[in-house]
Amino acid sequence: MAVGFRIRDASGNITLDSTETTALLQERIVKTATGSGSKTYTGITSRNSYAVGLCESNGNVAASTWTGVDFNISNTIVSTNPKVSWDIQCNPISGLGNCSAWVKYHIFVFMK
Amino acid sequence: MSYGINIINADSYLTFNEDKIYYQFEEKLTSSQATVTFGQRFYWDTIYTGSAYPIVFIYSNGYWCSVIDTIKLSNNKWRIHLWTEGTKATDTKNNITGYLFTESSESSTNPSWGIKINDASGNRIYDSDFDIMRIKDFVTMPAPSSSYPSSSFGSTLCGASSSGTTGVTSNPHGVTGLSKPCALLYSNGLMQYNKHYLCSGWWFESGFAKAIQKVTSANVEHAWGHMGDWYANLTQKTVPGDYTTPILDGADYD
Repeated sequence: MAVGFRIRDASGNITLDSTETTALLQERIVKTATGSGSKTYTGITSRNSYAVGLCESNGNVAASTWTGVDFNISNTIVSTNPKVSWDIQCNPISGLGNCSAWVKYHIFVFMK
Repeated sequence: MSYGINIINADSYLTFNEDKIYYQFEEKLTSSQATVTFGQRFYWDTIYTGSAYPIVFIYSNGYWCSVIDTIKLSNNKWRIHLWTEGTKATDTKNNITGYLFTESSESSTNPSWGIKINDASGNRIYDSDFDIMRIKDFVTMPAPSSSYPSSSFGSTLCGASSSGTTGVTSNPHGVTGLSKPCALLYSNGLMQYNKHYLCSGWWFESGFAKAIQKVTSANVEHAWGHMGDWYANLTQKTVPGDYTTPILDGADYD
């Protein structure tokens, strides 16, 4: 490469290459309850925002198996001040599922 | 910024900043760490024992699967539960690979040389002994095409001993040059029912299905996978929507 740098570990493997255009993790948002919300990232220009929602449970697998958790996430693409919005819903099957099994909802916000 | 490191490449793209959170590769999850619980389900136990919630990318290698649960165990390991298609839990766990990433602050080595970078709060955000999570692109995982599997699906695949999918959707991920394409395969919506079908001489009122996914060399795909049958009529359902998944190459970490 003509510009930039690479960092290798002790075995010679590249662990960071400044020429790669990988997405950067802007923020982790942890919610302990369902519901909606949003966040605007002011001062960021010409970047796409991408948010991903993941779940963490308390180990009650039977309850969580019979329960649907839906992250409805919208992202602002190619914009000044990108924004992400979320609406986390939990829908248990009556008599089988249990939303109390889910203790955390992780939202990972990336910028690229 | 008033201090720190800000690296911009030749394309004017910000590639490194000490205010960001860098996830690093921790371990591969393979069949040796997998335990089958049912014909349709297995889990991985991690070697990783940190407190930060891990991200698991899956190289599905042609198999359908979906992470349905992530739990921190009392021994500080993490357990990743996956649902597969019908009876294919053993085949699936023998063929797919999970790539686990977590925050750089969670573990580090103590080499005699290398680079470590902390943020302003003293949290480790980069350690040159670990590969950072290198996301190639993002793609929309489309929801299954049918919000309800038909009763014919349930009657054809009656019993948990059968495997099969319905409502398959596919979306090109557009990332080329990947040896082992990996995505986040997570079940959001997961339950459906179809009413009143004959199965092995018995009438069932509900058929269960779960949303499962795969990533191929060209596409991300989503479908309903058969789980089993039920005598009672369950009226609840959870219909999954589209979701965004990052794509990376597992071969970068082999």
